[in-house]
Amino acid sequence: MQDIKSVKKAVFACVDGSKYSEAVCDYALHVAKELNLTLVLLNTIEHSGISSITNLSGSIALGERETLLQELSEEDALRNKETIARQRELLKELKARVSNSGYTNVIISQRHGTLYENLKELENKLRVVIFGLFGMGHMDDSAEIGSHVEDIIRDVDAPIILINKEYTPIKNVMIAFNGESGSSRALEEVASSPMLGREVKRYVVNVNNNKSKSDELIKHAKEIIKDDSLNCEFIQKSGEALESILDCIDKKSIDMLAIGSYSHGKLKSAIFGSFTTKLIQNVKIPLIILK
Amino acid sequence: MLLQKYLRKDEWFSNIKGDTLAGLVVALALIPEAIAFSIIAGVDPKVGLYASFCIAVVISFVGGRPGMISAATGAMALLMVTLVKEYGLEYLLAATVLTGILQMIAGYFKLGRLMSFVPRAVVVGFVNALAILIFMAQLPELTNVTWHVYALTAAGLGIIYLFPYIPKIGTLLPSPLVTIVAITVVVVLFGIDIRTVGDMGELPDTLPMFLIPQIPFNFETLMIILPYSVSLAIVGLLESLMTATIIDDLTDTKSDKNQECSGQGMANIASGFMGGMAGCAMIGQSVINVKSGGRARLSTFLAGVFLLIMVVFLSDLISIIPMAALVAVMIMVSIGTFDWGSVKRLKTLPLSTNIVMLSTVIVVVWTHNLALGVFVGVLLASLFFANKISHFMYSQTSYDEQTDTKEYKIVGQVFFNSADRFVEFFDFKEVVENVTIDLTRANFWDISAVYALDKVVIKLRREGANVNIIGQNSATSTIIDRFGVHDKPEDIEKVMGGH
Repeated sequence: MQDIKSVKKAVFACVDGSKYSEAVCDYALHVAKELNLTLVLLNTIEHSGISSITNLSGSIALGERETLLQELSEEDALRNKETIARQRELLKELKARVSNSGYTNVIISQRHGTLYENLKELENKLRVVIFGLFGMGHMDDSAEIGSHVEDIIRDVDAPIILINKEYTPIKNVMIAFNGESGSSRALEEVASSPMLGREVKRYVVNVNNNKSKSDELIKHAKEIIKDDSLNCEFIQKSGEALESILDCIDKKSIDMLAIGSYSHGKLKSAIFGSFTTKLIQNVKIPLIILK
Repeated sequence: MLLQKYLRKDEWFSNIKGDTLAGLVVALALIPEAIAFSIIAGVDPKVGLYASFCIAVVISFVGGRPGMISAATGAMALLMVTLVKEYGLEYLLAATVLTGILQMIAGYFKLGRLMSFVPRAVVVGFVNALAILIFMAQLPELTNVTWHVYALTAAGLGIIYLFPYIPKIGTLLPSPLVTIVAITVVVVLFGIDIRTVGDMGELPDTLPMFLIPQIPFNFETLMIILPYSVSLAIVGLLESLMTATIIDDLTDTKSDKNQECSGQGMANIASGFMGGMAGCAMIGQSVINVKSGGRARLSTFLAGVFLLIMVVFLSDLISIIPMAALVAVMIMVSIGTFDWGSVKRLKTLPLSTNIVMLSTVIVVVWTHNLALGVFVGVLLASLFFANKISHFMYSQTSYDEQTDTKEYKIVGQVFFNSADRFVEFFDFKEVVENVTIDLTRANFWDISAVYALDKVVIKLRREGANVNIIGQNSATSTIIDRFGVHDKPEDIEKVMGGH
């Protein structure tokens, strides 16, 4: 079997047994097939460091540190073994699911640490990263996104696909284009490269109240795409950006949305709120995010 | 960016129940310690209590190790004794602020990595010395007193260690608290006349207030406080980074050591301006926190807040706590701080390691200065290391009769400590026409080694031999006077060529 070390570039599906794990796997399979790359099913075992044994006696005896270390590591060892075994089962099931569909270029990888630190370590192997919006810690569909999701989007240098619903075949994709570098890359990646396949219908949308500026941007977008044979449609809209995009997704029954990510620093986003975060919270279809 | 860095949700609210309970347990344990350390430093208990509040609350936001407890500590208190005695409290507050500034500078220059120069044996020596000093600091309370004090202290220790064995409530109520309450009740009921916390100085009755230390701002003042601040900054960072490593191990998580350095600095600056003494991370309290289930920043924050609430509202009750109860708690802290495993390991560890550890302990106990002990320990360990490495050198000699050539092949590490032995390899009495020195497999680490080689060459030439040196380039290329990182095989190959 192929090993993660020998993989050069691959499509990474990050699964953890939460509710979209199968969807993550299916979307990743679609992308891996189109790009003809290895599909890596990645599972990370995060250490919470939180113990269920609590002793409020507040006293420390001779050799307390050694005893405590031993107790805590035994507890962790037990818990980790269970988690690892459970997640490994999941990985095997998902691998079988992929193989059964006829795609055999798939490997599984289980690593310790947070998803963020593992993706940073594997950064040069990442062609596309796919994970569910709500990890194990967020079983509820609360509108908030985990801080680790934001960190990954900001720092990990690879196209990211966020999954927030069950898998449905991808017939079309919409690219929100505003001329910034992230959205230009989104356009290149999704419109010109075969990440989603040649056949999907592409909608390039620009929301802009300034008509002449919008015309200019659409012209620029056409230059980026170059290939005339692709099935592209250009849409110009005016009004509030978020509403217009959501409206467009609804009307054209879009399957996926591609956007450029966080163009502002963390502090500015923290104070004014970020457009990317708002999109992630409000869009009900999988998002392709590029820097 | 900054806001996000300091207010990470997962580092604050991932363990609310455990952190709240642990914070309460730690706050209760902090009160007697803060009072006891104030007494060691020679200031009013309120100075230590304000310090503990400020440091715990500030470090909970800006520290690099979630779940670690920082407050007024014994290690720091011991360093301030003469400053307080000779110049008074205001100078201590100024020194505390300066300590914080120095620590922030250390954090800015990422000096946390210098911890790698402190060997394990020195760390163990530091911890053991600290335990011994905390114990010794209790002795004045146990000399020239009536038998009541001995009896009450013994009873206190009994409660502390036996209470946790009582089923159910044993692990729900902090035994030091039970001890303090029980002994106070006994003393009040029987009207035993012994020293209480109230006799030791002023307790806080208000919230701490911002104030600028009342000192003359001139060069002379700076020269008085600077030596103290330097020691305080070093010891504070050492104990904090050591404790951070202990908590990293216990919880199997990582921490940001440089952020911890600057965080300690900010906490001390805040403490100094709020009328508190300098502090750092506490080994004992941090272990208690983890044991009680505390993991996230919330536990440290709540420990500080609970401490202040209890102290301000219960100051009348705290003032009647007998010193005997406090002494019992501090003896427990001292025992808990001691690294018991290190005593058991004495037999199995190499002699040099034991000498380093014991020297650290002896110097600290002698001088009451942990910084000095660490300095001696690191120095000794480095010398032992240099000595060990110098053994990795030998020479192979061969003689070719036809050409009348003697060849010396030197293999190993040549530096200040092995330079003399390097010279001894050569037989200057022997009469030969040609001498070849093959250095392809030798590493020349410093100028002492180069000097030794020059000496050998000159001497051989004087005796009338033709000297030929092979592989000098690869040998001297090891003289690297930069702190470069050579972590790739080809880099190491370049330096250690021929090995």
